[in-house]
Amino acid sequence: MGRFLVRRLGWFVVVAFSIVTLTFVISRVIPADPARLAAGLNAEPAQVEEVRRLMGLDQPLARQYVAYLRGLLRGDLGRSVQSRQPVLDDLRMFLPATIELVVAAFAVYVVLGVGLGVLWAAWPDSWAARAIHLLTVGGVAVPVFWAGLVLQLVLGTRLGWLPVAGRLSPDLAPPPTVTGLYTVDALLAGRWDVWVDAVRHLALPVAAAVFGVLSVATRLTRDSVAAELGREYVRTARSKGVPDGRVLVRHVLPNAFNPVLTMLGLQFGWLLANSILVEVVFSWPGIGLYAFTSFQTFDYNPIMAVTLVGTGTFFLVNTAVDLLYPLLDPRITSSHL
Amino acid sequence: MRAVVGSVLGICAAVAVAAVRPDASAQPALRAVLSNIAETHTLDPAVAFSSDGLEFVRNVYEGLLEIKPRTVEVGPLLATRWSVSPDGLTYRFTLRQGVRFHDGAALTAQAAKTGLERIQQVNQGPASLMSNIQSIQATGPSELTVRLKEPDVYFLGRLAKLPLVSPQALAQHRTPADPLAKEWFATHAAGTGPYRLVRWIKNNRIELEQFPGYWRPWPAGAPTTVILRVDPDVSTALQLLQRGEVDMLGAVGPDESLAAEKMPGVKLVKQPMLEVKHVILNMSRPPLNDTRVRQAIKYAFDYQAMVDFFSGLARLPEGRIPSAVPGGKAGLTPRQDLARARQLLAEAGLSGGVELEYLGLKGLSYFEFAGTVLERSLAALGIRVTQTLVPWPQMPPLMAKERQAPHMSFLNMSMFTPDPSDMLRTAYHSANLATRGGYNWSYYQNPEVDRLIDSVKRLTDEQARVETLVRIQRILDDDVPTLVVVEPILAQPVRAQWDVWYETLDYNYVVRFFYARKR
Amino acid sequence: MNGRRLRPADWAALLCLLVLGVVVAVPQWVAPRDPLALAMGDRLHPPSARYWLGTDEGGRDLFSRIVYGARYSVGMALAVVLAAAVVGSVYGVVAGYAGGVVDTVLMRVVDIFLAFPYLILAMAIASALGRGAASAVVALAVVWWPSFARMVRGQVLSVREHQYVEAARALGAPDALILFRHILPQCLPAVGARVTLDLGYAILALTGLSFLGLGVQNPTPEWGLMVATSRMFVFRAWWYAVMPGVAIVLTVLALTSAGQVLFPDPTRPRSLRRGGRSRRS
Repeated sequence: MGRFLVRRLGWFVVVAFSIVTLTFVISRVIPADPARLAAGLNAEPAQVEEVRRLMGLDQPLARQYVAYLRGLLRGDLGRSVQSRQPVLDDLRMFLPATIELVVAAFAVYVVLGVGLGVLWAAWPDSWAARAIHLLTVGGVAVPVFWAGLVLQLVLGTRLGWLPVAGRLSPDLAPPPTVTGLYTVDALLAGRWDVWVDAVRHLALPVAAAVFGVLSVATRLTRDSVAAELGREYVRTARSKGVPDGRVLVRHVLPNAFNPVLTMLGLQFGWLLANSILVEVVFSWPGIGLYAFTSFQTFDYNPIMAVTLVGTGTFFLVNTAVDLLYPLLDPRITSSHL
Repeated sequence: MRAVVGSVLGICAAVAVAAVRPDASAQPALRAVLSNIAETHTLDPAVAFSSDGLEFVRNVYEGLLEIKPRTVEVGPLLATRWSVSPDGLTYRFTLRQGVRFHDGAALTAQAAKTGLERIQQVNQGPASLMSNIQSIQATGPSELTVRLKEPDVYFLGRLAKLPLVSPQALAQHRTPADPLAKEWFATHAAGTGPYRLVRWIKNNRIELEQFPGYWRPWPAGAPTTVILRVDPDVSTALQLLQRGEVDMLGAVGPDESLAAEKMPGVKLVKQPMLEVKHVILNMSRPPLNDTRVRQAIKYAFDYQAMVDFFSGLARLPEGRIPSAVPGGKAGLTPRQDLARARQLLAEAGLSGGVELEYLGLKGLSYFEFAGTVLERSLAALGIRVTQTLVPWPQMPPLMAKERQAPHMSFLNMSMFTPDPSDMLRTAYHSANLATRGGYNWSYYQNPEVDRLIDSVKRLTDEQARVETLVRIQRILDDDVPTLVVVEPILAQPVRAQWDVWYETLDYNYVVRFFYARKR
Repeated sequence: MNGRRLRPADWAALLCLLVLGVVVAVPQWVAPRDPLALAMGDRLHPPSARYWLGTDEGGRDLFSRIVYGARYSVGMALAVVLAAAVVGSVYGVVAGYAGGVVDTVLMRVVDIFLAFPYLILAMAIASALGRGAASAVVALAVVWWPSFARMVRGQVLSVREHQYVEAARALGAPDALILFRHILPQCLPAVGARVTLDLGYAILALTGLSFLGLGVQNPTPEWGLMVATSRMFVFRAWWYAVMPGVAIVLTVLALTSAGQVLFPDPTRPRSLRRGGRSRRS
C-alpha cells in the first residue's frame, strides 16, 4: 500500500510536470499581449513596457519557464492580470464554490445513478424501468449547456420555482467562512435560512451537471447488477426461499459494485470538466468561470493554475478509488495495484 | 495577513456594536442592486475609466464639480464657487466647508491639490482630462487655483470628471515602491462620496453603504445600501431582474430591454444617449487605404437593418456627434446606394474576390449583429467578410497592430465630457492612433482635422464651435475612416418603484444612487 | 447484421442517420431559405406555417439555419473523430507492435493526455490557434486521439499473438508489411465501431466549445453557437434557444443508436444490449 502510494505520487509528479510544460507552451503561443491588458487601455507605450518588465514577459521563454517552475516549487502560482492579486488568493476564493457544486453533483449522481440502475435491473419489466431506459437514452444526447439553459427557462423563469444564478440571494450575507462551502458554513453557523437558500441555488446547476452523465452510471449499474442476478448463486438463494430484497442487498450489490466504482472515479473527472459549462451558464463563481474568463483575457497564470488543480483533483479521486477496491473486494489486495 | 485579521476583527467589532446598540433613528435599510455585464479590475479613481469602474467611483468619490443630476451641465459640488480670469487661463475655486473623507480627513485646498496631482502622476485614463493643466496651487486653506496652458471653454466639464481621494489614506498606504498607493486604492477606497465601500467580493459584487458623515442631508427614498453586481451573462441578469433580485441593469441590448419591459414590475428608463455607433475601417491596410473602397463600403452598408435591429430604440445618425448635442445634426445621414457603391468599387479597380476581416465584441447582441449586417451588405459587392468575435479586453491589443489589425471593427463612441470635440479627438486625432493606445483604430491621419479638433475648445463663440464641428464631420464623411451606423436611445430596464437616471456622460450605465429614489 | 431483427427504434435511428446524411450532403435540397439572408421585418418571429421553427434576431429562418448548421456541427465532429482515429490507430499499432520500452513510454504519454481535464486542454489549444473551425477541430482531435490509441493498442496485443502473424514473421515479412497487411485490418472493425459511437460525443464536445465562443464564428449557422447567441434573446424568443438544442439532441441520439445497431458491442450479452427486455430467470 505504501509503495503503491509512493509510485502513484511519483507518477503524479511526472504528469503534473508534463502538464505544466504543455500548458506553458500552449499559453505562450496565444497571440495576445497580457502586459498591454495589465497596463490598462490608456497606457502609454512606455508604461506598457514597464509592466511587461515587471511581469517578466520581456525575458526569453526558457527563462520565464524556469522562473515559473521555481515559483511553483515554492507554492507561488504567480499573479492574475485580471484580478491583480496572487492566483493562490483567487483560487482560495473560487475553489470552494466549485467544490460545493461538484461534490453536490457527484453525490446526487451516485445516489440517483446507482439507485436508478438497481431499480432498473431488479424490476426490468416495470414502467419505472421503461422510464429510466428512456431517460438514459435521452440523457447522453443532451448537451450540458443546453440542459442548463432549458432548466433556467422552465424552472427558473417560467415557473419561478428556483433561482437561476449565483450561490446566494443578494439579500443574504454569506455565512462566516470556515470551509467556504455555503451549505456547510450555514449549518455550522446555525443559519437555516442561508442553508435553504444555498441549496436552492445549487439545485439547477447540479441538475444540469448530473443530467448528461447520469445514464452512464445507471446503465453500468444495471448491467452489472443484472449480470450478477443471472448468476447461479442468486438462483440457488432464491430457490431456497431467501427474499428478493435480501439477495439483492446482501449478495448482488456488493459484487456488482466494483466496475461501478471505477467508472464513478472517471465520471468525477467529467463532472469537473463540465463544471466549466455549468458555471458559465449559471454564473456560478467557481474556478470554471474563473478559467473561462481567464481564457478570454489570456491571463496565463490562472490558466496554468486551473489546469493543475483540475488534473490534481482528477488524479486524487482516481487514486482514492483504487485504494477503495481492496476494501470492497477482499479478492483484490493492494499488491495487485 | 495582519490586515486581514485586523479587518475581520473590525467587522466583528462593528457587528457587535451594531448588535448591542440599536439605533432608534436609523431608517430601515433601503437597498439598490445594479447588475452590470463586466467587473472593474480596479477601484482606483485615478485608473477607472470605463462604466464598470465608474459605477463605483461616482458613488464613492466626488470631484470639485459635478454634472448636475439629469442634465449634461456642470454644477458645484466640493467647490461652491469659482471665478475665471479674463484670459481664460486661471480658475480660482472656493471649497465647501465641513466636508470629510470616509477616513475622517478633512477636505482642504491642499487635499484637493494632492488628489488632483495623484491622478496626473498615476497617468492613466483620467489623466488625459488634465493634459491642459499647467499648475495646481493651494492659494488659501479653502482656495484652489488652477492654471491652464491654453484656454478651454469646457475645462469645468473636464474637472467635474476628476474624483478626489483622501490625502490621509494616500499618506498611510504609500510605500517607497508604490508612492501613489496604487496597490491600496485598487481594492480600497476613501473618498467624500455619499457611499463608502463595505466589501468587494471579486467576480461577484461590490457592496456600498451610506457614509454616516456625508456632508449633505440624506434624502428620503435614496438607497442606503448599494450592491453593484457582475453578471457577465445578460440573460441571467434579466432573470434576476424579473425575480426582483436586481433593481436595475447596466449594459444590455435593445432586445433585452424590450423583453424586460414586458415583465411585471419592470419599466424602461428612456433617455437620449450621447453615443453614435461606428464601424471602423482600418486605413492602414489595403484595400481600405483607397478612399473609393471605403466610400463604396459606406454606400453598401444596410443602415436600415441596423436601425431595425434596435426595434424602435435607435435612429439613423446625422453625423459623428450625437444629435442631442450642439454640433450634432450635421445633416450627414448615411444612406445605402448599391449602384453608387459598385461604381466606386469598379473605379478603384476592385471586382470582387476581396476578403476583409471584421473584429467584433462578443456577448452584446448589437455588436455581434453589426458584423452580420456588414457581412450581408458587402456580400452584395462580392466582398467576403470573415468575422471574429472576442471579449473586450482582446480588442484594443488586436487593433493596435498597425497593418496587421483586422480591416474592420466596431466601436461605441460616447460623449464623456460636455466637449463634443473630445469624441472626434478620441476617434480621429492622430495623437490617438491605436498604436499609441488610443481609439483611432482607423489609423486616420489628417493634419487639417487634427488642427480643427484642437481649435474647438479655444473658440468662445458657440456658433463658431458648431460650425467647426460640422466642418470636421463633413471632411470625415468624405474620407470615411469610419461608418456611423446607428444612434441608439438609452432604454434601461429598471424595477418600477425606482426613479433613476443613467449617466450618459459616464458611458451610460452608471447610476448615482444618491440621486435615485425608491417610491 | 448478424441476422438480428431490427426493432422499430433501430429503423428510426437508421432513418435519422440517412436524413442526417442527406442534410449534410445537400442542405440546399432541404432548407427552404438562405440561412444567411436577413429579413429584418420578420425578426424573432415565433414558429409558424411560414417559419416552421421561427426566426432569429436577423429574421433568418431557424429551420434553414439548423439544416445548414448540420454541415458544421456534424461535419466538424466527423473530422475530429476521423483525425483522432487515424492518429490514435497508427500510434496504438506502433506501441502495441513494438512492445517493451517503446510501448511503455508511448502509453505513458497517452496516460498523461488522459489525465488532462479535456475541456481545459481543448480550450487552451483552441485559444492558442485562434478562433475558427480548424482550430476547434484540431483542439478536440488532440484531446480525442489518446483513447483511440489505447483501444487499438489493446487490439494489437491480442492480434499479435495470432498464428498467422507469427507465421508471417517466421517467413521474414518486414514489420511494416505485417503491421499494415495483417494487424491493422484486424483492428479496423473496432475502430469503425468506435468512430460511429464517438461521433455523437464529439458533436456534444464541439457544440460545447462553440458555445464558449471557441469555434466557428458568427454568422455561421453552427448549433452550439446558435444556442450561445440565442441566450441574448431568450426572453423574447424561447424557440431560438430550444430548436438548435433539439437538433443536437436528436442528432446525437440517432448517431449513438445507429452506432449500436451497426456495430453491436460483442462483449455485452444480447439481452442487455436491448433496453429493459432481459428476462429475470
